[in-house]
Amino acid sequence: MASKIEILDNLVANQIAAGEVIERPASVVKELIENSIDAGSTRIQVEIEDGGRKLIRVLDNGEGIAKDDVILAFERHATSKIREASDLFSIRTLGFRGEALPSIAAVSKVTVKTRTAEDTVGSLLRVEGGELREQKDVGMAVGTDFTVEDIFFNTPARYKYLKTVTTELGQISDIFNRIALAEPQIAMTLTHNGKLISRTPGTDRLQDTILSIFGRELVDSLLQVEHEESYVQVSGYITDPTVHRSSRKHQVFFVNDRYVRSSLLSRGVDDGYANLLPPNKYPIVFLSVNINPIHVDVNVHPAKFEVKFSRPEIVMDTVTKGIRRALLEANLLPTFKPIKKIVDKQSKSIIQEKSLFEQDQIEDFNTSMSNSILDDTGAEASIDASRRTDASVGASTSVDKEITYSEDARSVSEKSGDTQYVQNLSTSGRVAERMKDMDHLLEHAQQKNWDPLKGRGLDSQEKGNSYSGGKKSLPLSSSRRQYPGSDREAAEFADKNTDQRRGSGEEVQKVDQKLNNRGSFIAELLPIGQIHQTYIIAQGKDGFYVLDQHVVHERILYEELMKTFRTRGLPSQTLLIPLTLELTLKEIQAIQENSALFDKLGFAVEHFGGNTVIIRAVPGQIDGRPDKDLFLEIVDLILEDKNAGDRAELYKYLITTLSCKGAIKAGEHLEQGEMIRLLQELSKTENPLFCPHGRPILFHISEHDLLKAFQRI
Amino acid sequence: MKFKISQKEFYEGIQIVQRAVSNKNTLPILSGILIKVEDTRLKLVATDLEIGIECYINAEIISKGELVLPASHLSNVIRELPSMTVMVQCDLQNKSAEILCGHSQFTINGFSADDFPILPKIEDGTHLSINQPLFKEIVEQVKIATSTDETQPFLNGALLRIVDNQLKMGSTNSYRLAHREAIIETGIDEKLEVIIPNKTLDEMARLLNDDQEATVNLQFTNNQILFDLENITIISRLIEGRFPNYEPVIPKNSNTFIKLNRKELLQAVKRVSLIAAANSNIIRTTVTNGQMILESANSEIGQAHEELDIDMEGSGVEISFNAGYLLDGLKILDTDDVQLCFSGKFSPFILRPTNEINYTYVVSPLRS
Repeated sequence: MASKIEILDNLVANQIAAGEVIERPASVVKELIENSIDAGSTRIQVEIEDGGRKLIRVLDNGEGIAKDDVILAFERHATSKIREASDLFSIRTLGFRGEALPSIAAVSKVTVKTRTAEDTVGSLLRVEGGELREQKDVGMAVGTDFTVEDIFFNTPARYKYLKTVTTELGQISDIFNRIALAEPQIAMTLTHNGKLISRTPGTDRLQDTILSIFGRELVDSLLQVEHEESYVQVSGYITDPTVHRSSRKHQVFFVNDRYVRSSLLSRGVDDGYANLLPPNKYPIVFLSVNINPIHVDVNVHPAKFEVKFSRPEIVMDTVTKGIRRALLEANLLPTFKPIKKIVDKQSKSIIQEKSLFEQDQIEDFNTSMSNSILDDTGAEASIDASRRTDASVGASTSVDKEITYSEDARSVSEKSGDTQYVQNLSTSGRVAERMKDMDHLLEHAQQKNWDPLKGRGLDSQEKGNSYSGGKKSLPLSSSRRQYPGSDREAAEFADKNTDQRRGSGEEVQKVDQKLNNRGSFIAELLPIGQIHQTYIIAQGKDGFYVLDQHVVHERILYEELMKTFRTRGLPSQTLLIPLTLELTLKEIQAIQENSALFDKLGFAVEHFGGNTVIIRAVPGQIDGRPDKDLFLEIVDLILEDKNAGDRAELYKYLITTLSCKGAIKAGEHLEQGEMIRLLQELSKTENPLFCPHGRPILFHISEHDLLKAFQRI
Repeated sequence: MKFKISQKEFYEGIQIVQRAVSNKNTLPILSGILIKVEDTRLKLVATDLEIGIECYINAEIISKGELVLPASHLSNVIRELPSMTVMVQCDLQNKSAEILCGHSQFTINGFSADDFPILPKIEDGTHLSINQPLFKEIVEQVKIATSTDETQPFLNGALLRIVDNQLKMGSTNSYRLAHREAIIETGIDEKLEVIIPNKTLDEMARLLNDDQEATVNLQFTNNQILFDLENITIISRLIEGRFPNYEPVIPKNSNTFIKLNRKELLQAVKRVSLIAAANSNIIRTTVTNGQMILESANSEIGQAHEELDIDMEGSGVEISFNAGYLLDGLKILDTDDVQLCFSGKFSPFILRPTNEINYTYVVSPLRS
């Protein structure tokens, strides 16, 4: 029998390993350009055909590969860049694994022409699917000319997963731009199907490179960052706080000239801009961090986007300080400082007030508050909790009563449940009274039109049945039906009862959400009044609710607008003077892919060629808000959200900006009738718990919270 | 420093310069008005560094000097004083002013005049002199279409051009456009092109007067413009940037021309827009068989329908647009009749007065 386990031959191993490094044409471009950079090139030319499917060619004027080394370069882990493992910690070159070339060669048809200054003649090497097909001398200038054709021709599974030409090209151009920004001293060009897409001048001025990629307008708003501290050097450009985007997509970081993604550095940027930008807005930055290679570990991921710092907090802090300094020097900071101080003071005073409660209570309080904000479960839980105590009180009463009436109960228990129920009601003294009391309370509450149990886990039996289909609902009546005969049983029952109770509560909760009437309880809140003419205080089934009147109204208006928008779309205002915008290729691509969406929103967008789009019409309903900002925000939103096909999000976004305007503001006096009406309207909305911007609309302070706060329990 | 002045004249002077007072708090001294007592008259100055206004008023001078007083308090106090002679006596040492009028007495603390920015003197540059009421009319007609969109700063003002003997002024916020041409007598040789900011246009419209004999002198440099009225000087920064070449936007080949009473149209549009207001202010206009129909509809509120008799040439047309934009144009004109020229459903249309005034107001349509 032949053995089943065999060592893979080199070729297959390379193909598999290629998957790690070579995911798509853009990865090839990245590896090749980085090789060219490591070879000390001053000019790199990238040619792409059909989004890289057909051809990727990278041509440089670097040092080339010596004749004898060419073939070696295609061996796995062959590299000129490190010699031993310890070198990994002081990498100065971009590539080092020696994986790139064999990986690329394994999945495509590669032709390399290269010549060093020492060699008089260059060598040509042709490798197909990892197999050497041709090697000969060839006349050429010093440098390397690397052609990759028919990528993934031998791995159809991967080929299948290539995206459209525009998508792949977008990825390539993205990588290209990022590398170009890291290497302003290198003149780089990118062409696609013979058409020039990007060209950087190679003047060694980052500004020139930014200009060539992002256009004049952005360059005008750039501030220079230059800061060095604790052996960390931060340099580059940031935008002044008036220019911002709604995602971090436009933050480009380089660590030791290598493009990286780093949430750490992003955080440093955020801190630098603290209080200067509107919420959820991010600056555009091009920052380069230089640090002794010993303190950076780039060997985290084969694609080398991630880095690890040995002292992350220092790096982050230096970035923050560098940005602060740049903003300060541009005189953009001082006016905002006092604001921060005031805010600090306010938050301090809040903390002091809070410390009136004991620490654990604060936490308790906070969690219950935030829970009730997050969804109903929290409120449910707190209600449950208070009810549970209630129930156990009931249970213990039933226990001591049990002793008194056990004889009676036992005799009755032999009869049918129904009679027993009646019997119990009529005979079981204190318990019965208590039940009666509760029923009375219920009736009373219903008359007052706010049923303390409606829609909650601890429902009266009819309600519980109607919500949960009677499945798990074991309200008080059923417990009475099975009225137990002994202490032990009674105790057990009491436990079981609470358990089941909790179970039924959750059940109802689920059904509740399914029915999408999470707001139904709001309609039954009784407004008590306003605080600071900003917050509505309303009494509810359990404790009270605090609602922010502005966001309450905002939510209502928002859903009204959504309704009209869904049916009619937005009217489109044609512009007399079209708006011309310079965007990145990726943005342009996003616009092209979503042209139908822009149409529906009322935008008429035209691609003018190159990096320019022309907007000929804008949504007519949005006035007072700069058209350009709105447009860019939507583009960012599409870029950020892969499921932009789900247009609802975008409509939502657009309409959010509208609904905010008409809403009543903080500080407006509201009459009782107005408050009741607001609560009723709110209860009908789809999501009465959060405003369209994601801020909470209400929070709940339960009776239990109050009891705890006053140390009554 | 001490002077006597009539309450009325003092208050008028304060009002003239007050609009240039800065409402930002960055430089406290800019929230004040500089009062400079010269040989025979009083000079009031205010500036927010974008625009500066100087105004001379007559007063009985007792002793010279200068002091900056906070504009809002000074203005409030002087406004409420009885219409009598006001005596102002300043203590330059303590930087305070004592204001006496009838039985009233105020002491207001101010700032040293040395810290107040000196308005730049424009010495060179191009001069131009225009009849005041004409220039006022031009400014008023053009400023209505300016933009306030801060992302396009060059549209936040009006483009003033002098070509040969012609003055051309235009503005647009991309949704509508206003353009005015006029022949001016004292032409200048060189070509001139400047963008005057919104706020300055507002001040011009306010301060220019209707006296047929009066003229205003304009003086330009690269980045500043100076308007010299009789006793008032306004100096303003110009907007940098390139104003779009908007003239090609004005449709040349219209195929529907209608003439109708301006007031009737204005009132009809106003009424129809009552329903339209909740919905982008969008109204639909149908021009057909000597009639113009204006309609608006809102599924929640209801509908509006107006019919107007018109003189009509060319084919019928149906077009939707923002009623507010048309209203602005109609309000600024004063002719009995106006002309509207349409070039199709999705093309901008033109509003013109029916007199000899060369004014063009263009509104871009809405698609719904």
